[in-house]
Amino acid sequence: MLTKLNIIVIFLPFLSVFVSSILFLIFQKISNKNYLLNLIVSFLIMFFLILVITYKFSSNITDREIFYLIFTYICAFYLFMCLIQSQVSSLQLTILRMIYLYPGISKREVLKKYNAGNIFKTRIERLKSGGIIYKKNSSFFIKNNKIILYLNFTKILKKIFSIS
Amino acid sequence: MQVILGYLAFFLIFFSLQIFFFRLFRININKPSIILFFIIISAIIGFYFFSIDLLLNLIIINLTIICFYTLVPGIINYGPGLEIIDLIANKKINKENMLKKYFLKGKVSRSVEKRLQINISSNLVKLNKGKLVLTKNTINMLNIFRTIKKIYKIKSDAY
Repeated sequence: MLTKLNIIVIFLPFLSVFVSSILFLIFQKISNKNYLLNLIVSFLIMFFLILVITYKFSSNITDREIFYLIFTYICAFYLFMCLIQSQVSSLQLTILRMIYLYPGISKREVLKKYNAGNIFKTRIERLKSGGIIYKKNSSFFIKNNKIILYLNFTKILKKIFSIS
Repeated sequence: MQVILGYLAFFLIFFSLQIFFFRLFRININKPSIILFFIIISAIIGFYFFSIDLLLNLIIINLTIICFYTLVPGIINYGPGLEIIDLIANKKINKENMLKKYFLKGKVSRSVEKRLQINISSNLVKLNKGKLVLTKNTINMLNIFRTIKKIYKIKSDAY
């Protein structure tokens, strides 16, 4: 039989992600900083709160429940992050939006309207506004080295999956 | 510690399965039908052998599977943003005109065509006499996404 504490443990990570999403919404409304920073801050606030709760109730909950609370929160927030990120940079979604705007558009017209040149331009702008790269004398340089860690992680996974 | 080791064992088995199927048969096992299969199996197991520990494990396993579902397509279909960073950071191509030249030459330049093909093969778009038409489900999905975009004030590439 489930106890009250069990039910709280099961739903707490999901509830925390819901609260994080509200925090993210508030940050988006009041702050002009980029969305990624707002996402990270809203994640960290609730993550810290979960750690505090876990520490306070550590005598009443098992190791498995502690692992569940932390892991499930991270996973559920990752999914929320993917949902937000897909709105920003998903090529697949952009193409769908284009077909939605121009019903009956042909493949050739899509490729004409949204080509590699456009993608290059928009991505450069986004990388610049996100503080990842900066421009100096018509050359681009990496501003935030953390992105290289992510790039290398992706490259390792690509090698493991044998994707050229 | 035992809990973490138990989860790691599951993670390694699931990750090895992904690699095995993708490297040997080029099959991406992260499909909605596979996720649904795991959820149904988990619900049955959870119902028959009910215990809190089992329930927590099943939720963790299913969440991991859903996370893989969102992670793997990003690895298979390398994004244009990462390609630009790769050119700047690793290939030391910094000049704007050279960067654009290399970008347009690369594989990512054909990504729109590729993603369009993925949209068609996954039944999000139908090709009707050379014209692209969205399915009803895709329109509903886009409406949900548009609401999310509006609520969270997110700027995207298009429209």
